[in-house]
Amino acid sequence: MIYWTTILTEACIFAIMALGLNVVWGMSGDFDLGYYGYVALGAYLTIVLTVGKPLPPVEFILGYTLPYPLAVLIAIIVVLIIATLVGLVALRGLRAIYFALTTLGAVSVLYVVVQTYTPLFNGFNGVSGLFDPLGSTLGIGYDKYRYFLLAVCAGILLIVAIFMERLSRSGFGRLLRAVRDEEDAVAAFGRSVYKTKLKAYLVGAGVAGLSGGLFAAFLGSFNPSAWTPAEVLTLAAGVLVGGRGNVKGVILGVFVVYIGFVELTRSLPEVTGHPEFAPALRQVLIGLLIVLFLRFRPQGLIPERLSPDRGDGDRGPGRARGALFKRPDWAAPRRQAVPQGVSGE
Amino acid sequence: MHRLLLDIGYGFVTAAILSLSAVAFTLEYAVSRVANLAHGEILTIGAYTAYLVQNSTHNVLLAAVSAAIAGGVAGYATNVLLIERFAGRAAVITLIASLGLSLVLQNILVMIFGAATKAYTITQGAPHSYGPFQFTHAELLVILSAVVIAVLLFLLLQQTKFGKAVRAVAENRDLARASGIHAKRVIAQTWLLAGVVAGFAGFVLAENVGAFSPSFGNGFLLITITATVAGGLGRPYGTLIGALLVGMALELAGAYTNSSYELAFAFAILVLLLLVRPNGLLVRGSRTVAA
Repeated sequence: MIYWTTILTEACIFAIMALGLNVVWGMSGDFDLGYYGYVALGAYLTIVLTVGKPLPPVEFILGYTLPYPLAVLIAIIVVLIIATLVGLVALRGLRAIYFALTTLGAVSVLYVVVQTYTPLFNGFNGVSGLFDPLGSTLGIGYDKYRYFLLAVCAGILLIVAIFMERLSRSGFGRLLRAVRDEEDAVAAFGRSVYKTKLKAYLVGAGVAGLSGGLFAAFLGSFNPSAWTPAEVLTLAAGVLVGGRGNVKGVILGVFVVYIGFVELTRSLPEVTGHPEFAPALRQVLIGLLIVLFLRFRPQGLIPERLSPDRGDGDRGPGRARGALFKRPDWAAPRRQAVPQGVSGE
Repeated sequence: MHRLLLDIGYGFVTAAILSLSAVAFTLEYAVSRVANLAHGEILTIGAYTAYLVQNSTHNVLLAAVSAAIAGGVAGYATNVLLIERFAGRAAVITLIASLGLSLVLQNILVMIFGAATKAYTITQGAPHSYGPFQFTHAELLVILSAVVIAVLLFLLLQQTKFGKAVRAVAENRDLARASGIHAKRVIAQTWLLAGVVAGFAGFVLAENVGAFSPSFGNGFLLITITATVAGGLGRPYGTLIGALLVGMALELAGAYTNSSYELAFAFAILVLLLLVRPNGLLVRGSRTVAA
């Protein structure tokens, strides 16, 4: 029972992260390789804002004892400021490859700096000491706390999911998908592609900061081994398996991938004297899952529902003519074995 | 002044290694329009192969050759098994797929060899003075081999029929096919060539650093990308110059601060380039690189 509470809580937090990633990748079409950096920043900041001054030899910045919700809020604001700076550079020129490369660079640098520069977040040993936030304030005992945390995370997941669903159906959501599918058409109608993408990027980063704050409460501590630049791929796997651009699909995908992989990893053979074997195998499987889904079922388990008059957003060669009125590839009669371009690419 | 000259000398070594890795990356991009994020793993595979071969034969030359061969196989396989399967798909999708491949390869290496760093030392020889610079025997060989490979690549691309085909495919794949070029084969051969260069780069980097691990090539990827963007993605000659500039900048910056921030410097350069000259330092006018 306790085991499942833990698993479900973590899955809820991952689902929130994935929903943030989905705004950028699923709705506006760019892949943010630095996304997990914002989650990490949110987690680090939440901890250093709540646990008080560090005792030597531990060192980190700030060291305040703010109430947990306020700390999360500040963490989100700081993440948003940094995301604005990164977004302003990364989205400039509006070219997908450069966006991906810049965000990859940003997260790699963040990772190296956090690890090497100990006065920031205590380097490789990381920060710790966030024990059951809000527990004592609300008078929740240790034994009940994990259920409380699950309820909080599930509640926030629900709120974020409803928000995303509404965002997706709003004018802004339509604009985002238009940017994703036919950037030139959006520009021709006088909308700023750059501003639209930047807004979506900030929504995503804000959700990442929030989920980082929750993750901090769940883990109690945070250090570089809790996140690597490649971590974003696990999230991407969830988004991809469920169905990009689709809120329900993304949540389903995260639960399938996350719970599926946790259970799978538990039954993996342990190799004596080789403790890295099982985690590495798990990473291999996640990598394969991503490649295979991208190749064979890029629309995911629950495809995004498209209105009948919408284009398929094929960005492959030869999309120029008539792309606005084509049906999505997987809905069209099977022309050939290779899926040639899929909505949202 | 003497110190500065020494650092410029080390800058040549860094630039030489970087140029090998970056020119391979840019060749991959040129023919397939893909930023291959599994590029670092080709270097890593080269390093492991060299390590294994050298441990069993104690022959450095054989180690270098087998690293190049292993890299070639890895590059060729990456193209056939992954990149070609995503032909016609959006660049971002292929990019993510290549990142997935990078994760798979890195962790397969962890499963086989463990995550620990392996020491890799070959006899460096005592440093000798060459004009104002000081190089060890091994460092001199690194620079020489990079120059030789650059010249060979230049001749191959400019003087041979294959080179002409590569340039045609890089310019426009469909047009190249319409002119009777077997684009698929040319692309596959280019990946083989890029893999050979990258595998050799992995060997050179490993023996120069003196250690490597499964994530070693991936750690070099951002610097490689910076050099490539500096020279212009998909432009082999520009990339060589970009590698020289970035390698020199990194070495000089690293010499006066903590060298573990090299990655941060690389990123700073990358951001600056994207803001000021997104098409590369040497690209004039409005000619853009399709992204």
